[in-house]
Amino acid sequence: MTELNGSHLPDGKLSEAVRGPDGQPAVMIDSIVVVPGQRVALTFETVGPRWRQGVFLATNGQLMTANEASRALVLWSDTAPTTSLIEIAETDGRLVLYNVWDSGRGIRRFESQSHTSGMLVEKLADGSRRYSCTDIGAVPDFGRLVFRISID
Amino acid sequence: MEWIDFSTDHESIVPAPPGLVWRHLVEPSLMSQSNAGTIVAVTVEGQPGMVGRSFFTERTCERHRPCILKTKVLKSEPLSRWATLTETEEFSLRETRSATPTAAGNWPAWSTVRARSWKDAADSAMEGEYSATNLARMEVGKPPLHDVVEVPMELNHITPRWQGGGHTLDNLEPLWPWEHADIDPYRFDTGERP
Repeated sequence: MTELNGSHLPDGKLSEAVRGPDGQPAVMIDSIVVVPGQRVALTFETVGPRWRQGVFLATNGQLMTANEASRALVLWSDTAPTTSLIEIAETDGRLVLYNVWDSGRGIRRFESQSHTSGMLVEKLADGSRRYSCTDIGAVPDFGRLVFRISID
Repeated sequence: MEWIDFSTDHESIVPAPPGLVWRHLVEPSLMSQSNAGTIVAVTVEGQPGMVGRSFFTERTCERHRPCILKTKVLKSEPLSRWATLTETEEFSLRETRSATPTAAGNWPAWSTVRARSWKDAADSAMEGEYSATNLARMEVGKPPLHDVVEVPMELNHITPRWQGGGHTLDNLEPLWPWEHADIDPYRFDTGERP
């Protein structure tokens, strides 16, 4: 887990360059309405073999996980538990999240928001949301990372 | 020249931009002394699994004379990183244009380092990483703009300047402004953010 703290979070945005296989919009940055006291469960479902994958989560407030507080954090699929619980301790009402990855080039601690990155968001019957992510590449591969978010 | 059996676990970092190194490795007209006197030329294709030939000077070879080594590409990210297996030899290419002194031998100003960093990033970009518009910006030393939010990417000093961190490639990482703000609360804020 990489802990961060700061401000100036963007709102949810759709990708202008990438769409799903059926033409559905891909989300570059997702923004979920949350209130203080809610708990977010993030479950890594599948990870592609290409390189390391993770999720950036942030709010203008404070997120609590593993007894540590931070405004933003990155959960990596290879170091975080399969399911991580994050408590929204303080918030302005938005939880911002998107896929990050590490291509192994050593250029930054995590890479994100490339021209061809995007997430297909599927709302499941139990109220949770499944994110299928693609990162860098001329041909989208939404199997690079699949994770699920549920909020109590 | 001769083919020989050779094994080493040496790793080299080539002090040049990856695009330049790549061209020196694969373009016959540019093959020359390209790796601190070790590699004279490499005639391999860039794709992992392919096998080619590396020409070495006498300093590297057991028999102390020029030789040709069988070279297999282990992983390849053209214009970014290139690792081969020459028996057990692996070379990692990393760009260092950002840290190169000026022609006068002076340490470049931050504005120069910043521009060079974006040019380096354009050199090492993977297909689809940046839009054509952003690549054009970066090739002239400007930061890419976020595709949708339209704010410029920023460079974070991993070890802050006030802690002795320099304008070197290893100490700079590109981040989106809100990521930069999360990592470095003392960063120079250039204005309103989304």
